Amino acid sequence: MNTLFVLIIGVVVIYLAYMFYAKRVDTQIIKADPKKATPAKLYMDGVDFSPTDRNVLYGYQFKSIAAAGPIVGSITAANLWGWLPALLWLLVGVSLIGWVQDYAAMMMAVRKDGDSLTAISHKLISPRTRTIFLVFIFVYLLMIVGAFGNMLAGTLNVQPTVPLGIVVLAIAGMFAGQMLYKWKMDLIVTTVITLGVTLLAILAGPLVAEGVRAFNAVLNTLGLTIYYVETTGAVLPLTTSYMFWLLFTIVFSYLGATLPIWRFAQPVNYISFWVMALTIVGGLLGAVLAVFVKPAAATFTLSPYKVFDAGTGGALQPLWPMLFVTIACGAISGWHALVSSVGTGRQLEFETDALPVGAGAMFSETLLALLALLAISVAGKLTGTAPAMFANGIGGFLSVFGLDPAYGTSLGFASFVIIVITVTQLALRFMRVVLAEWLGEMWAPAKNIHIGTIISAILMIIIVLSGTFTYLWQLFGGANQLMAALALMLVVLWLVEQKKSTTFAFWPMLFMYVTCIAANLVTAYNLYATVLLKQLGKPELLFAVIGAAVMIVIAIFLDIAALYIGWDAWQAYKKMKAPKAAAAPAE
Amino acid sequence: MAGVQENEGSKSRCRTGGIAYPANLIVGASLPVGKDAPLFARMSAYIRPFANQIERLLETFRKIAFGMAAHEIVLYSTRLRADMESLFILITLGNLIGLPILPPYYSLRLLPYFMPQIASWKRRVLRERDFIEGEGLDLLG
Repeated sequence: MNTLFVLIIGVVVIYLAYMFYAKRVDTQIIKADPKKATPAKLYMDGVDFSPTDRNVLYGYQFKSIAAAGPIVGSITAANLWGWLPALLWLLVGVSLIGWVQDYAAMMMAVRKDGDSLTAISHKLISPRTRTIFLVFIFVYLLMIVGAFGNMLAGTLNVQPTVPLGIVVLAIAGMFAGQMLYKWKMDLIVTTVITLGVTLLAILAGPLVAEGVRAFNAVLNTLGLTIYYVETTGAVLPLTTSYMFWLLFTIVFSYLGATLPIWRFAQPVNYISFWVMALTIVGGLLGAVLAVFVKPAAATFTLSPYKVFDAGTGGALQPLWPMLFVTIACGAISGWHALVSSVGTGRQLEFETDALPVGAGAMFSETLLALLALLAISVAGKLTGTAPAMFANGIGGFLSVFGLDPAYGTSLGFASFVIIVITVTQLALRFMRVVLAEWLGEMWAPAKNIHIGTIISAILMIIIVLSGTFTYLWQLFGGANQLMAALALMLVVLWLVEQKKSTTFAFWPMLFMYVTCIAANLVTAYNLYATVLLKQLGKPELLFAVIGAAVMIVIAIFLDIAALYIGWDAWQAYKKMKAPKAAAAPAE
Repeated sequence: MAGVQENEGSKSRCRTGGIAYPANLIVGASLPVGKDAPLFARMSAYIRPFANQIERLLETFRKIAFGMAAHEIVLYSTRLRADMESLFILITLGNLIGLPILPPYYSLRLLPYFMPQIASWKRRVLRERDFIEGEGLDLLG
């Protein structure tokens, strides 16, 4: 098997799903009508509601939904079960479920006057659904900062070529904000300067690697070490240098969470977009050309199928349901529904634009996940962490253009860390916003941006120091996919209200709902069996035990909350289906 | 109407060497250009359809790249400006949404300047908001 063949399969499946399924749903069930006024036209305020060209919106939607998720999920899943199950879920998932959620959430928002998903859930199901959504979002964010913090600290700790690029990215981001918003400099000039400096720093990473390695060694002489339990059941140390890089990640994220968006979060995001875009485009071209130019770099070395239950050390990792939460973005993601409703849905000029924008962007995101899958599949014989395998795969693809694999790998590492750290800072920012919304009325200090961020950062540290990446990621996937199932539940209710066929949304909803509830239970069991049961009472594993207990509570809470929403939705459905009482005769 | 004008425009642009080429040839595939037409005119008649398509394709790519890279910056800048304008209108014409701030005399003096924005301003200020709006939701993929 080689990269070109898999890419062709992916493109053909996506094309067929878009042309023969998505278009049919759009024209025959939803009946998108270009003559109907969209909220962007009805409530145009030139800011949030503003008709925008569909090509611009497609790019915007793609950028908004595609980040680290599709990359990390594909790599983790391929590592556990082999590349074939991951590929099948990506293609089947996006064709039957993923695009349905993004597109239908967008159309629902358009037909509901541009309401957000939480507002629609409040109206269609029940008021408490909105609160439960809020908690889902908070848990989703907590797990994402936990998983990404874990991955970032680990990568920065063992890859001394990467930190220079990240430090320069932070400085360049600050400058980009100043140049754009204060000095009113041209966007292209700003981009060339800040992106150029960042890329130079990334490529110069190997030059300072020795210095970083020595710095880590000095830190490790301090001997502040704690332990955690790996998925294999092995007890491994987290060194002082690991904790230093975790602190570095938190300081970076703290800036993103507390400074005005224009000052840090947005320009950093902007620069990292270009770094990632260059890597993706180069990687995809390399994956195609490698078949002809350098076949060794394009041949799959990872096993297509490993085992149904990939669990070790007393843990369970059955293909169903765990694969379906391990790969979230790329196949389906609940976060997309939020963006589709609040962000893009309010800018659609015509209803008929929802398909190319919502479904089109989702299908394109699958290509990004496919790239990550290709990268790990060709680098499969190498051992190491998921980022290392991704970076090595990218290094191999870029070597097709004559770039030294060492530099290509360095770029792969840096772009991966950049996209992950960018997401982490934004997730921390949202966590403090959600905290303020959730607890602000009961406890006023929660509204303070610094207090909210510090609380969020402490929670992040607890989660990072206690959990293994795989469990964190799967719990994040569970929260995210459950959010997707709930978004689909809203879509089904909306379709019932509109007296339209619900089949295309109902079965995906049911599948995701049952799968995610089962997956959360498996994760809770894994944490219990590998950490709580075996390590309880050992002082050196205190963090691991506390973290596992917290994560078990979260997993069970997510399931109970989902059952509550399911019950409320069932009641709402019965109310919609109940025959209307005849009007009282006039006296 | 716009289409007709465009076709007529295209026809007139192609009126070279005394031969007027029908509009369908400009966008069509078979191009039996007369032998007496100048070489450049014949070549351009063949090339134009492809050039137009490439131009449209490039324009689409440009827009998609803009959407990916810069649309959020444009949105945020617009939002910043709108917030400032919103605040200023609120200070001067708050009574329109139930906040008596300035004596009506000054409000009335300023009213003509704000008239074009009143409707969209009221919608923006009074509409229900989701808690994560304006916090860069779109930045987090």
